[in-house]
Amino acid sequence: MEIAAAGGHNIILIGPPGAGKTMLAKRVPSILPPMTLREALETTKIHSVAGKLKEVGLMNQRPFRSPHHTISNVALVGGGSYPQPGEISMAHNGVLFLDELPEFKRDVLEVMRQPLEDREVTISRAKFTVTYPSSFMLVASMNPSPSGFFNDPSMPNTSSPHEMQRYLSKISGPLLDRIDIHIEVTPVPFEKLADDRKAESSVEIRKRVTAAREIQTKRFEEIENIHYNAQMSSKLIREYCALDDQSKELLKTAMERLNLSARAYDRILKVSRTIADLDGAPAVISQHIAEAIQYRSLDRDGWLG
Amino acid sequence: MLVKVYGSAVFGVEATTITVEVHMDKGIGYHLVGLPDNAIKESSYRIAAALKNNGLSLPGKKITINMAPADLRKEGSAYDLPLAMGILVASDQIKAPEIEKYIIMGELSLDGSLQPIRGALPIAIKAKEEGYKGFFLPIQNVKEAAIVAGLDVYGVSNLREVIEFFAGKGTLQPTVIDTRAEFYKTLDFPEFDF
Repeated sequence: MEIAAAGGHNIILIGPPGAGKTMLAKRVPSILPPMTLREALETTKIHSVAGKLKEVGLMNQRPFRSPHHTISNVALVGGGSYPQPGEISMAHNGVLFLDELPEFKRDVLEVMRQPLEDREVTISRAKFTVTYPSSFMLVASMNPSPSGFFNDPSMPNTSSPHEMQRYLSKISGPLLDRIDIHIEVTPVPFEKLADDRKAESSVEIRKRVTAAREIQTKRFEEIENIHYNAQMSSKLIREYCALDDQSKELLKTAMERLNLSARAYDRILKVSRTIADLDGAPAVISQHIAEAIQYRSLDRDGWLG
Repeated sequence: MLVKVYGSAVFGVEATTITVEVHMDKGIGYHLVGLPDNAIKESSYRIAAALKNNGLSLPGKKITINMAPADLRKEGSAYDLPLAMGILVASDQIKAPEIEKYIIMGELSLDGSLQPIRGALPIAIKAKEEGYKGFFLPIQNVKEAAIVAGLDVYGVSNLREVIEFFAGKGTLQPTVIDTRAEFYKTLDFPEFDF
């Protein structure tokens, strides 16, 4: 989650029910770097237009929106007869959490493609055209199969392969294209649940994330419209993620062994650039690549094939 | 008599200033033009009741109200307050010098109190941009608009307060928020922590 926050990468959490996916997602806004005054102004404007400000002055926490999966595409993207910002605009400069991603209607997910690319959504109707900003980080969660379990030795998977294929294919294609990191979330054993030791607090994690973001801001200073690693185009990836021989070998082996696609290649490079930034390393080395490769579960054989 | 009062409409995340022109003449009638939607068309009932309950009245003359620009659709009930103020000034029931230096927005309840509006912040930003002196809005929205520095933002809870302000009496003070201080105060205390 730290890597996703540092590089602005969209992330999908896959795991059985109760593993803690929603809990993790809710805490993402707390490790994103604090909003600048300008970002806060933009976000407050949108919430003001939607009438959702509730006695608060300038918003200082990043918004966290988690719409239910029965949402319509107008409510998600914005519009209606009296134009209102949709959930993606309400999540501007914050996090949009789509819980149970395959449960969303297919056309609703399709409608999110342009905003994910352009960071703004233009709603055109017969009588008006309105543009809302919508630059957000997408966190999605899903169960690995309709029954909820997959590859878990203690719980039998009761879905047929055909059902699973259909379930997983709902999210394949353009949307998956834009999700850089896939994580499998496994259930927490009792010893860890009952453990009293505290993990790191958000404030600590946020410091590292902010430092990594600063590196990226400096890197992309000259380039318009790119503010963090997730937005890099192929050309920029070639420029900033140049690999040494050892890393190239590792990547080659991984791609052949795990049968990763070309889509995965670019993604791995982007994520490894963020990992290197978090490490404070100027160049991407093989351990960064190795870590990034782990985060492409859905591209492997046995998932979407 | 002709009076011009200023309000604002929000399209997307930006606001546009709307001029509410109220003209009183001999005769009878209430004509509201400028592509108002149903909520604005219903406002005459709200305004009439609100004025009556505050010791004023909707005059029985010929009232023509234009909301300029006339080809832009106006939506929402937030124009009740500027319409009411325009009618009062045009019928000489109150005096309001310099009313054209302010943006006024708010939905009226039948007793004259105000209901919250939407888009207060973009309106305040536009008002400051266009050089207005102040902004009257329902008190429930005052915190959003007070973020904008350099604009006198008055949060009002009923029609009386606005009338008294323009009469030179009244104790209405602009709301001032030190935006930066407020902003940095709660920055480090997230609701959900890792």
